[in-house]
Amino acid sequence: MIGDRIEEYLETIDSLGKSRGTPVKNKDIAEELGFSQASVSEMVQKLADEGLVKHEPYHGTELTNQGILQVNSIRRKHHVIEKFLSDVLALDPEVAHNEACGLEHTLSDLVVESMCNYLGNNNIDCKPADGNEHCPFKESYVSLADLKEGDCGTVVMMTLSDPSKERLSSLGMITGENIEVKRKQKQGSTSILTRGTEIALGNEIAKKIFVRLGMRKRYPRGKDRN
Amino acid sequence: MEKTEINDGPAANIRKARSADFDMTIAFVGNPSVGKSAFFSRLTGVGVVVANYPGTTVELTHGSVNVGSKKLDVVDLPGIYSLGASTEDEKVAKRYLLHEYPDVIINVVDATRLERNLFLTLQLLELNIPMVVALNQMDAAKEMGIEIDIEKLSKTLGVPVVPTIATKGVGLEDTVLAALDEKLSIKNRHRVHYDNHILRAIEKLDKDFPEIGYGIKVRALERDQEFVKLSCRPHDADLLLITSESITDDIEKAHGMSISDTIVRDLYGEAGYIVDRVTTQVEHKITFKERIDSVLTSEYVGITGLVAALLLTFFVVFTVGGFLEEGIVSLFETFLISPAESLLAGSHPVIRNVIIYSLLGVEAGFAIAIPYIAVFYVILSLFEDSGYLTRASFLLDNWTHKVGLHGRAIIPLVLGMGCSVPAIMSTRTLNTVREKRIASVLIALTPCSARTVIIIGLVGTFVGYWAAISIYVLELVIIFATGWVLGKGLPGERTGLIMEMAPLRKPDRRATFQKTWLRVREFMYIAFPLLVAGSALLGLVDSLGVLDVFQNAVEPITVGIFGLPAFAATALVFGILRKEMALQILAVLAGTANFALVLTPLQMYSFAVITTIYIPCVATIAILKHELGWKDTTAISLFTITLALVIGALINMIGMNL
Repeated sequence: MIGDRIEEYLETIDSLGKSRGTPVKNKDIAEELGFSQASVSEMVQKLADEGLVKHEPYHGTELTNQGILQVNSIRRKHHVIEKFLSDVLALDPEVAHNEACGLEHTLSDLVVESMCNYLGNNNIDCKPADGNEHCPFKESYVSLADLKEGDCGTVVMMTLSDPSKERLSSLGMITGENIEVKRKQKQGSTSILTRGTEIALGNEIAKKIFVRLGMRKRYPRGKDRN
Repeated sequence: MEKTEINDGPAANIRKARSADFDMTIAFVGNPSVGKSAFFSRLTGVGVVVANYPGTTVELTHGSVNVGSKKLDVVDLPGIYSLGASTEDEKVAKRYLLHEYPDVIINVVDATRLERNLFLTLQLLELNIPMVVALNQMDAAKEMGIEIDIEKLSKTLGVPVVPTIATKGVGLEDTVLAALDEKLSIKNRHRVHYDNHILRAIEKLDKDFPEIGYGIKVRALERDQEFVKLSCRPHDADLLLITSESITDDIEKAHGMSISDTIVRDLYGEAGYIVDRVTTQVEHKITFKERIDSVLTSEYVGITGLVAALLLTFFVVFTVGGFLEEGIVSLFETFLISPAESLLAGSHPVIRNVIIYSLLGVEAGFAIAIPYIAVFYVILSLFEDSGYLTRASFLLDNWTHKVGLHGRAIIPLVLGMGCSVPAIMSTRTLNTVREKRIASVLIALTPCSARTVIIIGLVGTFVGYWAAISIYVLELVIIFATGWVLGKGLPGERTGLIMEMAPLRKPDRRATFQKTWLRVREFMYIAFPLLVAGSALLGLVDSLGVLDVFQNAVEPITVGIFGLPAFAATALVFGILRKEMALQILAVLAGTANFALVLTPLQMYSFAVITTIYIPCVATIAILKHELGWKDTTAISLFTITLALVIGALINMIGMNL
């Protein structure tokens, strides 16, 4: 899988950069991964073309912002998966770690978010690895099903199937949107107000929509954008 | 190179030839609940045709209207929120607009929810079809303190905007005249200011495809193959799709953004921007409607109100429906059946039976259709158009989940208490086949008014009030249990409730009548053939003495398992034609209407329960076949027959041991 390879490289460049300093020499990458220098050079060039790394001949390689984002995303995925395997499925920590190394490349965002969701709902503290870790349950992300009438917030994540997300988007509900809870039925449906439209949501849908409490500045529009 | 006018919309070579009957085609497009049907029904009157768009289950309503010397074909597309692909309705609307290419679009927009409506409007503008915007619900907007600068809106969008109040007929003429205006052009349209990356991508495409329209390129970047293929010549379409595919890939990878999501965001952003520029909120007083609305879904009042509404519905249908039914039946008896009977008194029994029974079938059709379907649909339309139904669905979503359905299914289920036929017709509004199936089974088990006649007429009168109530409780338990099992077990897509709660508004009389008329007409077309054929067959079978043979053959079941007298079997057969007939024939065969003389309380109870469950009536079977097909219909019928056998046997056994 090309994707795996790319992610493997990025992770290696990142960890080497942290331990031995940037920029990272290609030969160090080759040694770490066990590949020939020629293949490493070729791959690094590809990564540079994709905008994930910056490579300067004779100096070395380092990650671009885009590359860093991707590595962090994988790191987080690994962390969530490993946590899920060890705490929820009660696998041996070492086994969980090794499995996660493989799964982090193949599981989709939807699956990982659902795992994260599960951990949060069952009060399993994720304890993310580093301070910058982008963990929804560290910040004040709340599930829509837990809000009360009158609460306002911004939608940050929806762990729903694609058809449901499409339906919501055609009704005006997309991530980044400000919403207000208009009606709430105990244990039942919720209705939210967004862009002047009221949308009723079944409980099982509301549970999978995550919101950051408090209003956000309105999404810039028209000529003010960009 | 020849500069072809691809810029003005779908290519001429795939434009469908317009029917020679009409001079122009106008398409009505808009969000659900904006007053489109009020507008449409005032324009077209009674002569409308409902037809499925070929190959789909989506219905389009066609009507015609004469303006001056021109004859116009007017099409009402289903209410949609966007020209996307998330529902069948949206796909069909898009396909229709691109493929059939109407001459003008009238986009009906709700002035009280302008931002939401403009999302669709902006998408429609990109189709490059001449368009007029009807800004409807101006009265409601005024009530809410919303003021809109119509001229500014019109200038910004680049199309005429006409203020209307469809329910009062205000502005309708102006809208149509604007639509027919020859000077209507597609130039000067508003162009959505998309994300810079998208704009740059469009610039790139402009170099290679100078004649292809802006809107088409946006859709190409969104990977909307159908749109592009329907809008361009095949060669250009393929080339454009390939080129834009790689551009889109590059942008998405490089910037980690999804083009589709960005376009949606941009459209909403733009809609909001426009609304801010043209709208002023004078003051928002909490209107009376809003006060009522908040009560409708409140904790206790909400449910109480709902139960009251249901009981009221039930009551109205029963009294009004029953009254009308009696009237129709007696009319038929006096003017059709009795004369026919005397006329044919001397004829061959087979011919006499076939004709008389067929006439009875026709009578059944009318006696069901007008009292129950019509009355029910009037009430249902009122609930629907006023917006109350969404509030009811909201309250009940949690409960309906336990039987595998979501809130919207409440409509069919409630209708089932009056008559199974319109109830099953209304399962069309449910999103998935799975839900349709579950709802249909539950409706088949719900005691309709005919069955209620038997329960009350037989058990209620001769056994006791509480006994009759216990039958309803039993039914409820069976329905819930069946629903629960099906909900867990039946495979298929499960969706959650996602539904817009449109503001409450006064239902429009004309739209209500038009809708009701269409449904009644549809029922006649579907059920009548089967009713008449089934009745004729029954008459034939009866005159040939086959029924006696049948009665004897099933005696082991009738007497042995159910504990009923042998002639009950014949009554049950007639019940297939029309459920109440089971009771009527029972009286005929028993020789008396005072059932206490010939049946024990247990037998009466048993009979009532069995008729409620055993098999849907012919009209219902006709509708089931139409909606779900023969396989499902047979499965449901087999299920109910089996269930009736089991329950009947149980009642007999338990009764014997009490």
